[in-house]
Amino acid sequence: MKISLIKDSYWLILFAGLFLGTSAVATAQVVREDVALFEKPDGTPGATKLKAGSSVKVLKRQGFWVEVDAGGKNGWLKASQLNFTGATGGPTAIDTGRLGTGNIVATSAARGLSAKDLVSGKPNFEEVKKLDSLSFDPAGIDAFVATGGVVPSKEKIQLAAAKPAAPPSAASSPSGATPAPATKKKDDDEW
Amino acid sequence: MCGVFSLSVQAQTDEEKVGKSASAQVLGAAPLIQNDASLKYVNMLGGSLSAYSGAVYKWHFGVIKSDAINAFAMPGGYILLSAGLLKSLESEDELAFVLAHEIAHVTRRHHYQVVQRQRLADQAAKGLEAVTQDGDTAKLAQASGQIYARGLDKSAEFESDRLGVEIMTKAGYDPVAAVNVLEKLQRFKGDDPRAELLFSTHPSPVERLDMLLQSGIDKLPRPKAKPSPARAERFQKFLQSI
Repeated sequence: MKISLIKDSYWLILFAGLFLGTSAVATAQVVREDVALFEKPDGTPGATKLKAGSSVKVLKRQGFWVEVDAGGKNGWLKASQLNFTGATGGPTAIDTGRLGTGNIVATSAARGLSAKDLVSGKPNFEEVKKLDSLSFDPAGIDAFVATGGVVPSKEKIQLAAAKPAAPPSAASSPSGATPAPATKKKDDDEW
Repeated sequence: MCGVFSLSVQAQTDEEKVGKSASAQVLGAAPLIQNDASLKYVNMLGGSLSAYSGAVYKWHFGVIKSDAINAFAMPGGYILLSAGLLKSLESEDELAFVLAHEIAHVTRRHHYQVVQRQRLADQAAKGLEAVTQDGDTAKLAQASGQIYARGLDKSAEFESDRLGVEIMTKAGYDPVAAVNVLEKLQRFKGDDPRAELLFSTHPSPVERLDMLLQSGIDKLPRPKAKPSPARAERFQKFLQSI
């Protein structure tokens, strides 16, 4: 478990700050394929070309798009065109009290649930009775969905099972199939 | 036909029994919050997502009083979310990913299969007098606590991320919210006591993100319209009440 924690911390340091906005810049590698930077986060093609394995600075994320600085040329890539596990170190905001734009505030007073709490605690079957009484009214689901403006997708939604990738070396070229180039999509916006 | 049906019913009943014992162990460490409106909200959202899970369970969603950043999926359709995790989220779409990830754990029987393997090991060790098969709910609860303390295989977490994104997207939520959640998890320090158990039982958020990107998450269709003000409002109300 200790080894696992150390490994996680290692990746935390490498990755933290990738998506923290323009004030926090990290470095990532473009390893998936040779790409041309997009001018806008909508698939508008640009002139700057990058070789597979090139390093870029990640500036910010907008939906599934990532703005990068490639040696002074700024542009956009699809997030899947970057290998985040291969990111190299850069300035991060991990040691600040207030991290990014989320609701995450570092605090020393809070405590979590430990493995010991879960293993040696006494089961509480009275609370289970309360949990058993909690459920939803199927007749109310449609109204809940409609009130929230949630529109179920009519498209086929399926993700492919992927295999964990080993961190790439900077010198090696990527192998295997490359994903299809990003195309302009009406719904790729900034929210 | 009839035999198949009764076998299926029997298996589900046993899952519920295991789920109750496992829930008792987690609730022994942290009880439910006492806010009916919040619990109703999380059950309505969980219920709307469960319709896209492809499995039929009696779903029960609860929120526990804990600063921990964690969630627990118990066999049989019992799901518990920590208040600490919920407070780190910023939208109903993000909460939808968290719930859908846990729903996928249940429908894929990730924890139940571990319990079944332990039962088989018990039987092998003790012969036909194994006690964990039936009756001894306290022992079953303690065994479940060990499973949650140890965590599942990484592959089970990756699968739940993938299926969770599918469920939430089918239901009409924005798959980008899954990336947002993993980004938030990445911002917790490794030694933050709130997230220590999460980090010791799950692959790192960056690994999980990379797997989703490789699975093609950024090719999924996003909702045509921005979330409605009513959706944002009810989520904020929920946050304030926990």
